[in-house]
Parts: sequence; structure tokens; C-alpha cells
Amino acid sequence: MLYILNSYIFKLLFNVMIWLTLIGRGGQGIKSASHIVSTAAFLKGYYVQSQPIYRAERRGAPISAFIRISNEPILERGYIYEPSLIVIADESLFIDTNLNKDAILFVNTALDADKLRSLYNIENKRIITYNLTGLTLQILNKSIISVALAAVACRLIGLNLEEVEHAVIMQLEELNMQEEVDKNIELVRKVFELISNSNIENEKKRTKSVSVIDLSYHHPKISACYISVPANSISSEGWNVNKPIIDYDKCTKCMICFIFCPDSAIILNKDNYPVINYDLCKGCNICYVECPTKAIRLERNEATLDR
Amino acid sequence: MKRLLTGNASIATGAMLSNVEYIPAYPITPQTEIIEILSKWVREGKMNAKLVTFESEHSMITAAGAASLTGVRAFTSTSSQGLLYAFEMLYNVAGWRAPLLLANVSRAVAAPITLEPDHNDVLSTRDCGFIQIHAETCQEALDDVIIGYRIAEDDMVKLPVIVNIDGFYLSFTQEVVDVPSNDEVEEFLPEYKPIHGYLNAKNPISLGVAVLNSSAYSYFKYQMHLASLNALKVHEKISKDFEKIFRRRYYTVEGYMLDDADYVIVMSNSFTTLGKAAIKELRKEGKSVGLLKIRVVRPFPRDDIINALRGRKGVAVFDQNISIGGGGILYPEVVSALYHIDDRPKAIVSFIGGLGGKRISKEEFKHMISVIEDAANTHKVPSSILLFTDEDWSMVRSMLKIAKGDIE
Repeated sequence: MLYILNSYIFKLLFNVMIWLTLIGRGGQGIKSASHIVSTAAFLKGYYVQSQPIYRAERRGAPISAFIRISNEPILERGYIYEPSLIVIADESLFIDTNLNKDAILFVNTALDADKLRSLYNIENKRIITYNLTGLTLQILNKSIISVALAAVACRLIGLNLEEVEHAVIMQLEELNMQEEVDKNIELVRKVFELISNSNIENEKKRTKSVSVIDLSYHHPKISACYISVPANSISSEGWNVNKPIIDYDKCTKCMICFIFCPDSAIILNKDNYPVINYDLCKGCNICYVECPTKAIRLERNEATLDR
Repeated sequence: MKRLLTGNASIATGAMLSNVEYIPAYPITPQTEIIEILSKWVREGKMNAKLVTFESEHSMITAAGAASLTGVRAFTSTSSQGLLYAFEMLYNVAGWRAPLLLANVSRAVAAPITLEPDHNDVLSTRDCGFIQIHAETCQEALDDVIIGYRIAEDDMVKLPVIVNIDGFYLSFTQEVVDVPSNDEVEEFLPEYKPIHGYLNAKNPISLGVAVLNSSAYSYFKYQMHLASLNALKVHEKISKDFEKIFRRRYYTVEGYMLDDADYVIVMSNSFTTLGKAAIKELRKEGKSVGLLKIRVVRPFPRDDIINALRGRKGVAVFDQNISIGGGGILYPEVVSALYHIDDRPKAIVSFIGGLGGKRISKEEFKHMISVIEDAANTHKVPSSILLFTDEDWSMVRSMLKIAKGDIE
């Protein structure tokens, strides 16, 4: 069954810039998605600028990509502070994302827009949601959603299927993934089918005003760079596709999972048994791979299933 | 109690009197004697400290920083290539706000390789966040360790400290040192009780974390800068305490025959003693000359330098270092401090000398004075001048002949 989404097409007018932000986590293919979008716009003849910003280069670490598309040479660089369109790869990213309330929001989630709005207190008027992970798993048989995200962004910006398909082929060739082309083109066409036309003009960019302040000396309790609350205390719920479950009958308390967990999501209880904090677990599955007694199994995280 | 101590022994004695608890170590000439002395005292039970040898200075500094953050007083020392090998970790431990103390025994940096001192090693680390105190005498070497910890651990600072002594000219040079008693030092430097974040297995925290956000990075870096600047006021405050207990007073800069001097030589470290001797002799000849020693190099004591040099006719900044393609390292800092005052010296001239520990003769000191007199009168300031004599050149020529055959 196909869902017809409430969707929006930007008009690329003269002297108007599209500011697009893609937000995701390392491993989801955000950088690839941004390259597909910028290439498709480039092929259409626009001035384009695209830049990813990433932190720790590791699966699960937040990553953003900023894309500017214009009819005129672009005299900007770096962060986009007030994007016209934000494409978010999973709902867990709301926690550390500063949303421009005027932006159109696309979120990859199994929730509908109203549920999402009330769950995360989102003020944006225009929210579009779709379970791209489900669609991608169905067509590609894996959860790399870069092409689906790129297709959504291109569709919402108003780029043509022809250029998008061309850009996808170019990107997959660059990554030496020619054998994946057919399935990904199928995915792109599906996304274009799912989104109907409804024209909304890009709004004028509002620029926040800032002022320079005097920074005084702060006590090292504040100004020394350390974290005294549990590491990575931002919830990852909803991002982890597969979550690890410990079988305590098989666990030998070797502590290997505790040591290997890159996010301190595994702590030891008073008996030195490992305990997983699923709020912090990003589902990297390193513990599953490293456990010498195979005491850890994986289960599909319910949050990533249709609800 | 007065004793005859080398500079290295003075540093070690300062560490012992400061009750340091952890000493990561790696040998390098001319610093090795410091850790040899400390390891002997640890073995004999004279010190209640753990001394650990490492596979490199990089690991050594890292261990010192990590130990310091567990709340112990950490001490380590190195020299020259060792300091440079530890370079990236110097930035790290400073960024961790770990109040450890590092004694650097200056030795010129290869290539060509040598053992005697100049200050390219220690000054290359001037931007990393360490407080830097440079010693002229063995007495200062010992006192600076004690003063260094007191500054490092102050809540207004919480930064690591480098105490610099010159290799050979201080490290292996015996001088009379007034060694304070344990009680006196304990009165001045109480037990280290950290109240900012530190490592504790029962309550784990993340230190040395990535911020990956440019605003936060700017905040933490600038806080380090403010902390370093605070060290000037902290230094003044604790120097008064120090004087009360030890009857010696230190300032960020020290003037010698400065009161009515028209012409001043600015310099630092052990060669300052040679400068003072030259100034004394020039005074006998009727010259209106004096000397300004920069003792605290980081934070840069800008205001004290302005006060010491304003109204002078001419200033010579003697840099015992060379920034290749730039000139002396301290010269632009002194000039920029003075630029915006109305009564700045008419001429400030850059001199480079003492590289690789090259001796500075009285003639060379006199030459500096005559050049700045000339520059002040003619308002023509030459670019940086190397102090190098006919005797030096004849020595080099004879060596070149041996190395390369006939060089004519």
C-alpha cells in the first residue's frame, strides 16, 4: 500500500537561495546523500555548494550536511543557521538539533507528523514523515538510507527525476557500487511516486542578530573541559535498528562488552554484571561482535518498526 | 640551610620539598640527573612518590597529566628534543587544566645536534597553555618549583607550569643554595586538594573530551588564556607570602641597575648573570645602562615590562633563540607591549645570540649598548643582529677546513 504524503515543492525563483540541511548519524550515508542532492542541482544548471560537518568519524556520531542551491554565485560558507528545508534521518536526532521553526521538516520515522509533533514538542508548521528505513530495507535489503534521503530532498526542492537518477548513478560509481544502481533507481522512483506536488514558495531568510560580549574568567569547575554526567548522555532511542540483549546465563562477567562499548552505554552493576542502558545505546553492535561467549543477541528495535 | 647544589639537584630538591607523589620519567641530556636524583630518593624512602619510566616523553607527559587529574601532585622533566617529542601532549595536558610541573632543561634543538642551551625548545611551547618561569640561578630553580606548584594549583589558574633552567650553565653548575625546610615549604604550599573535576574510579567522568563545536572550543581556549593572565596577579600575591616565609622576593621581571638607566638590555635565563656583569662594568665606564630580566615568560608580563622600559632612550632585546625567517621570539612581544605608550623607547633593537650555548663576551654586550645608543640618536633601527665575533668565525673556519678540506 502506498502512502500519499503531504509534501511541498519549492520554487526556485530568481535571486532566491535554497538552504537545505541534512541531519543524520555516521553510517547512514548523509555525506553521500548530500553529494547526490548537490550533483542533481548542479546537473540542472544551478550554482551549488555542499559541505558536511562531522564530529567523531564513527558510526552513530551526529553528522550534518549543508547544501546551498542558487541561481546566482553563492557568497556564503559553512553552517546553515536558518535552513529552508531540514531532512532528518531519524527521530533520535531531535534531542541535539536546533530546529529553525520556519523550516519545512522531513523526518524519517514510523510516526505520523502529528504524533511526532506532540512527542518532541516541535513547533514547525510543516512536517512530513515517512518510514524511509522500512522502504529502504524492503528494496535494498539493508538500512543505508542515503539514496532515499537524497531523493526526498531533491523531490521537495523541485528537482527532476532525470537529474536525480543521473546523480545517484554518478555517486554509486564513485563509491564503486555499480551493482547497486538498479535497486537504488527503483528506490528513487518509489520516493518520487510517494510525494505529490504542492507548491510552496521559499521564504525569505531571516537573519538573527548577535552582539559581542566580554567573557570573564570562570572557575575551573565550569571552565575545565570535562563531563561529569554519564558519557554520551543524549538518548539514542530510535536510532538503533538492532539492539543488543544480554543472556545472563551465558555471561561470564569478562567485562569485554563494558570495555569495548564506545559510548559507555554498558555499566557494571554491583555484582560486576554488565547492564545496557538502552537510552544511550546507539546499536553499533560492537558488544555483540566482541562477546566471547555469544551471550549477546540482537533484536530489532521496536521504535524503528511501523507503530 | 645553605648547601652547594647543581641546577638539576636544585630542581629535584624543589620537587622533593613540594612532596610530589608521581614522577613519570624519561632520560635525556642534560636533564637525566634530575630523575636520577629523584629515583635515588624514592628508593631510599626519602620521598613518598612513585617514579615510573616511560617509553617516550610523549607518554611521559600524558601520564603526568592523567596522574595530576587523579588529584596527586605530579612532577616530570625533560629537555630539547624530548620536549618537542611531547609537544602535542603539552597542549593536551594544559587543556585538561592539569596543574602538574615540568622542569625543562634547555638544550638547543637539532639539527645540527648539540647539547648546550638556547631557548628554542622551551619557547616553542609558549602558546600551549603552560605557565613558564625561567630561572637565572640554582636558587631560583629550586624556588621556582615551589612557586610553580602554588601558581598551578590556584583556582584562579589551574594550568601546568614549566620551570626552565639552562643545560650545563645551570643544570650541572654548582652554586650555593639556601634550601628551605620541609615545614617552611608546607606552610607555603599546602597539600594539593583538587576541587575541580578529577579522575576517580568510583565516580567516573570524561576528561579530555572532544567538544566538536567551535563556540565551545573558543570558550575553553579563551578560559585558558584568562587563567594564564590571572597567574600574574596570583604570582604577585604568592610572592608576598613567599617573602614572608623564605625572606626572598620574586617579581615577574627583575631590574638590575635600572633606576636611572637610559639604555637597557632585556634578557632571560642563566646568561642574565653575564649581562649583569657587563652592565656593572659599563656603569664603571660612566654609561647609563641597566638590565631587565624576564623571569615569567608566560603569561607575558606586559604591564611590568611597560613600567620597566617606558621613558628609556634605547632597548636591546637579547633573544637566546632564533625563529628561522622571523628573528628573535621575545623581541616582537616586547615591542608590541611598548608600542601604544607615548614615552616608549626611541629605539628597540633585536639581538640574537647565545645559540647552542655560545658564550657572550663583554665586547658583545658593549656592542649591543653602542648599537642602541646609535639607533636612539639617529632613529635608524637596524633589523635583528647576530652576536657573532671574529673569534667565532675563525673557530668555525678552522672546523670547516677539517670537515671539508680547503674552503678558500
